[in-house]
Amino acid sequence: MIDQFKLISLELLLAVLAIGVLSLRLLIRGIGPRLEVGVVGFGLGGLLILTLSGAIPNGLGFGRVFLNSDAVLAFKALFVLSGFLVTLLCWPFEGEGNKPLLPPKYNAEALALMLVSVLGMCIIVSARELVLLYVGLEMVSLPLVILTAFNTKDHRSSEAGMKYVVYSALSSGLLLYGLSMVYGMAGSTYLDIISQRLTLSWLSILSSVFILSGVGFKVAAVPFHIWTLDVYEGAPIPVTAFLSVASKAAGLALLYKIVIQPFGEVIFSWQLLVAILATLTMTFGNLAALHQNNMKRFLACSSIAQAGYILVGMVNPEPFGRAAVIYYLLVYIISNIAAFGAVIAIANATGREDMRDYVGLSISNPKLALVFMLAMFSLAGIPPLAGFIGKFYLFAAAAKLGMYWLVLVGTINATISLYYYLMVVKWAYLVKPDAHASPLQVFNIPFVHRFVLFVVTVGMVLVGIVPHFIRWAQVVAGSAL
Amino acid sequence: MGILSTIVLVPIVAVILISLVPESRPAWIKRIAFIAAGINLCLATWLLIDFTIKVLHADSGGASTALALEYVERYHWFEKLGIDYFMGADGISVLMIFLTAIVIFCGVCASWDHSYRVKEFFNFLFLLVTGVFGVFAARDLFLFFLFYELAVLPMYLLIGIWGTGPREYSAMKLTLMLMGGSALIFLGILVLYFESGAHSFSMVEIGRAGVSESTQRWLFPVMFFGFGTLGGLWPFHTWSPDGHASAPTAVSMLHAGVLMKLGGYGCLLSMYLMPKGAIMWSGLFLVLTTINLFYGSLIAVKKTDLKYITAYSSVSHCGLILFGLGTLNSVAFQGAVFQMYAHGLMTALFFALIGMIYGRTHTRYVTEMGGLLSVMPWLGCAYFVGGLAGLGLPGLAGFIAEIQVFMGAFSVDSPIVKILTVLAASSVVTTAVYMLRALTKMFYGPIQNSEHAKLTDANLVEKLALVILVFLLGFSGMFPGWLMKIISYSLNPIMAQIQQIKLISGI
Repeated sequence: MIDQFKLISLELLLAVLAIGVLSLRLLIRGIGPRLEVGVVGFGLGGLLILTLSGAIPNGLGFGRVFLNSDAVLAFKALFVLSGFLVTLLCWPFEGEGNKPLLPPKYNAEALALMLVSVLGMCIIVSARELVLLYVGLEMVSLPLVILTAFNTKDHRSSEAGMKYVVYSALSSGLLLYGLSMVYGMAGSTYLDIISQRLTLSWLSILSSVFILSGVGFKVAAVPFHIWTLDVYEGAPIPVTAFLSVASKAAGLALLYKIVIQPFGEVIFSWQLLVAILATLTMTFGNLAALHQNNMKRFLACSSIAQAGYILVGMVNPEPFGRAAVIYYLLVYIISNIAAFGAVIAIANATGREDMRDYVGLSISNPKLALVFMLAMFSLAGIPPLAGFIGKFYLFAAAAKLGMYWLVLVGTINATISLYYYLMVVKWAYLVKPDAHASPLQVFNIPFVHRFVLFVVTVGMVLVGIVPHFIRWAQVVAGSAL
Repeated sequence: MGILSTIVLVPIVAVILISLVPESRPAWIKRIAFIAAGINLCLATWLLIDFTIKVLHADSGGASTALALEYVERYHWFEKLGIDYFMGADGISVLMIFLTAIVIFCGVCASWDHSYRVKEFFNFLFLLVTGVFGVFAARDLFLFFLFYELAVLPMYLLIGIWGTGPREYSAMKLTLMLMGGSALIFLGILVLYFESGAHSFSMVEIGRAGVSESTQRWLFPVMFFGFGTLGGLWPFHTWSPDGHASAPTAVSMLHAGVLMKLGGYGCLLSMYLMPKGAIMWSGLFLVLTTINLFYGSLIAVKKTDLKYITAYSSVSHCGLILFGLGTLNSVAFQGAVFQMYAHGLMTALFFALIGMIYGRTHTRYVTEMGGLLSVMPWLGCAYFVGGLAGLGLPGLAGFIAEIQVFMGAFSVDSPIVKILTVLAASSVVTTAVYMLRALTKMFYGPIQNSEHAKLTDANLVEKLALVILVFLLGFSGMFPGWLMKIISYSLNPIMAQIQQIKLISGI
């Protein structure tokens, strides 16, 4: 019994942390958002160390429905890492003229909802059974819907919440329908049994299409991406950051679990399908990003494109490809958090979200501008930043199968993406401040926020140069997921 | 740590040191930059001399197809991907490293008067130089590509922030076109890795393993166009005139002087890795580069903006490099590599002078200048030497390169190549037209603008840069023998491969 609880210790502690932060204000009077962020930050930091330290045992438990392996724990570490970084980005700014991004009164609720969402993601990657998996999925989506609509006074936020709930219900419906067909064919809800019993038939193809569309919504893969732009724009920026990193990573894990693994042996051309999905996603994301000026919409498009690159690596189901995906997820999380960190800092201090208003950033806040530029370059895949070797690895995974056309599509897309990433750099660096009505002035960034930016910036450089991170990805990718 | 790593590391250390100096002390920043560039120049000179001694003592190399590398450093980096930190130099890279060190040293001298955002300027400049040194020293394709991109990207900021004219447009165009080229190279590297089955990105191993003929057939043009974009190959050269015209002095010097040579260097590399592809496609590239030579020089005749004249002449001269490579003839190959070196010195000299002249007269239009020789004799004389080297006057470095390329090309046993050579060689005439016309308009005749009479000549730092460049142009033009020895020694493996294939297939 104790062993079983050890297996789910991370999930238990996440639940405890979520309940704890909610009750903090009840227990101690007059507590501010800072302490809440601090508690959750420390908690998640501790959990991250716990996950990586190897203290959580590997193995199956609870009647074969719950699996922990190196790969599963690696995904969990990625979720907890993104939760940790986003939590710290919620640290309120002080001083005059600041515009808090989340209502300070409900800070604890926001953090607790995010923790529940992380918990759901952990359940998704561990689940070996469809019902548990679906419960995890809903645990991820519902808190995110609430978080998206968190700024009740902002009509964009409410609109985004509405859109998100509709689309996520639709995708859940599609997914459930597909899963029920799978159950009908295999006669079991256990994933290992399903992958043995599935055979090639019209029904299995149909169900794989339903499941793929359902998962496609979560990953925001084209053509299932329609909700992304508006939801990302309307949601409070820390929530957008969380959506774009953690929820995307969870969607990709889901793709492995319920599309590639069960159907991989059945539908022989699924690789072509994923490759087409990747091509569409990359190309659309990049083309849509060309015209965005709002930083949130811009990063939404960029994150669609990034998901496309990851799908390129997913074409290769061997450990080689999986290692590339896990490694790139790590790279993507830190690079995207760096980008969002800078956007959050600017939005908090000045309320600006339009990249054309970033003029003068490199002169008034050179360090922040540098972080921002490095984040853009890392996302664009410029060496020696982590994004470069990450993309190299992903494309190598596709090239290993001989899909050179996909590599070419990917590299051309990377060139297109460079254009818009450079556009941001242009506004921040190239345009002279006297050419703008009100260039950005010097502003203060609180210590915690600077700490996050420092960590991710060092991360972007180190992860790309030091070989240990790739070795880690290669080691964990060998185990079952 | 070996000498090659040291050379790559010195600019990085300079970047770190410069970052520590407060913005309010530009003099210190410039001093650090000057010292770092000086150290690199010393190291590169030592490298060149040491390598020459090694070559003179070595036997003639024979017909080995393995790259003859010196100063090798090799450590595992990303083992499972077959990526090593692998540095090594042959004669060509030693020469190119020397050229880079010269150009950056003179570039720092030429930007001594910089005053706008000095710290960032030198930071980006040295980052760029790190990349360039790295490309020439790297022997692992991944490392090579990493440095290659590092050499291209800072250009965006350097042109975009400190440039003149339509700087944002030029910077974006340049970056995107070059990155588009590198997208092709990226694909090429991955294909080479997986198709050769060498399980290593090292050029040595991939060269030994080789790739199949059918792969070479489609992959060679991909790589060649990728590198050709940076090498100014027509019709992918359009970034170059705009970029060079908008860039600040030191950046134009580096870019036209060294960066475009990366293209030629990369083409040479892909010829080594895919000799069969090189033979299959040489005809197409000869035609394209002949257009290069002609087109560049013809447009240069039409232009009156000094930077555009030099930029188009660069397109024409870089075409000569690729033309020499396209002939697949050992003499022309030597000439092409020598042209990389000679043209690097020439263009660096030109762009340095244009920067200095513009800094004084505030115009770059030839038509608005005149009689400047009496006002600034130093700048005038240096421009004269550069111009004469550009049109290939015997005794200067440009001549040696041109004569070898054309002689080698003409000796190829094919009437079409002979015709193309004649066509290409006649572009020398147009070169003389624009060079001499610009020279006479600018420096002779009456002074056009009375303001210009009050201008001063080059200051001490500028004179230093000019003297170095002019001296080297003359010195390597008069004593090219030892440089040729290094070059031919290092070209042996590539030529041996091509000869073998030609023998086997009976071409």
